[in-house]
Amino acid sequence: MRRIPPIVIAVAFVMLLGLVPARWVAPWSSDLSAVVWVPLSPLAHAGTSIRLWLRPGNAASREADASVVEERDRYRGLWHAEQIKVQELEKRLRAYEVAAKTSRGGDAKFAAASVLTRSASGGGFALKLNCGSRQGIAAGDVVLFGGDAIAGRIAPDVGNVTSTVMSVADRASGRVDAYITPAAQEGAKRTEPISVQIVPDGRGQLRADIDLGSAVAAGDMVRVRDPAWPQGAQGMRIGVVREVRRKDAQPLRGEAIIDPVVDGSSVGEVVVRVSNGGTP
Amino acid sequence: MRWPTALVVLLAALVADVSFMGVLELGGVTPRLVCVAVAFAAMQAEPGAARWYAMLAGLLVDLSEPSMAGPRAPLYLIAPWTLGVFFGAEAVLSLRGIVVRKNPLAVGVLAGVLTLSAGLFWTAWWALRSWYPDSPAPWGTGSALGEFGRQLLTAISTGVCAVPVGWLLLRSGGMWGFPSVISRQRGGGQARIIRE
Repeated sequence: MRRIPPIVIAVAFVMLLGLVPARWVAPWSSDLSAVVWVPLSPLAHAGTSIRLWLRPGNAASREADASVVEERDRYRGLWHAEQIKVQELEKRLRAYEVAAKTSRGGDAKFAAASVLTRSASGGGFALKLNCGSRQGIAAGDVVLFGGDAIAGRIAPDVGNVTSTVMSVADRASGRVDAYITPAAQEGAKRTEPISVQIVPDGRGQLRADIDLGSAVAAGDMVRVRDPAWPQGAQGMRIGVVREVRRKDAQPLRGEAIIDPVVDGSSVGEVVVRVSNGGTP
Repeated sequence: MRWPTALVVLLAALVADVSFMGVLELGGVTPRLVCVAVAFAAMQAEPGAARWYAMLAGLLVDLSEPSMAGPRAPLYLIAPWTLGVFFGAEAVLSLRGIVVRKNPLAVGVLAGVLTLSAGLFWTAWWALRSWYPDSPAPWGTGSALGEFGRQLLTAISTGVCAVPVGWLLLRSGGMWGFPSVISRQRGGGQARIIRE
């Protein structure tokens, strides 16, 4: 009887692996990937640093005082979050309710993380970080970049020392409740936000249905206001309106095309908002 | 083929692909050094070693590029790149007889062929997998044809990048321990191979 070559057996085995349902493969292949990448992570970190040094991603990183800009953005995000809280409190006062909850964000802490690898996923990007459950990171935690810009959320199956960020443009992120602040009102004491629901279009952008008569225009900032997201993410930037156009299917309605505020190719260091009270 | 050398080159190419090669990104298209390393090995090494090397390279790429599965979990699916690079190496093995193996341009052309074959297989495999409810295709709502167009551009950029990289690899040919074909016994169809 003729002996089957080992390479043929290997190919057949891999084909079989590639056809089994994801729930059978995902648990152990994630662990295998983590094991493979443990010794390679320092090299990948160095490679990413060199890439960002050679090709900086955004204007802010070229500024001499980027840290000041980052600080400004962080406080601006907090200010927007406070604005939302004020509006909620006003609503409660009108209804003669007592605002019992006064602290936002709970005891959330921040964990700095470096990006090890980057890959395209679901129309957005997936970033592998060098921190995991050992640093208190859990699935659903919000990942910030440059102060108040949301890069995405931590995907399930967090490893001990690694985790994966699913970008806001990933189709799997689903719908997000948000609001658009006209650019002219950025920094104003009282703003008139326009509530929208944004949906990833699977091509790297977000879309939102709007009223054609609304004041939304290119350059307006989009911020999160979604009860399903952690309290600490409310008011953070998620995108910038690229253009507003009439919907072909519904000519009386408009559609805002939104670019995610974080470009995956320019991210080297991020901050994870640890919302479960862990110890980063 | 000396495996320690081949593995070092493969790991270096893999790390560069996921971290550094973004510096050469143009319009969302990034060259793949792993494909260059595999194409170079498939041009020079024994077919058996080249096939195992290609499978290993594809496996490492599969373990480096997650796709977000249905329930928002990162899915490292083993097969699309593993088999794609393997079949790409098969294409190189069948074409290497008609090129000048010591020419960097040949490395560039065959690296492009390998990347295109692997990309075609990867796209086809994910198109097949996207029928599963828990495995949406990595290209989102775009079409498989559009994704294949992107893979074609990746193959072209890899081929261009492979020319200088291939020149460097050819210069390091002695470290790889490739066999050198001195003569062929035409009667039996067997090549007599001795080491350099």
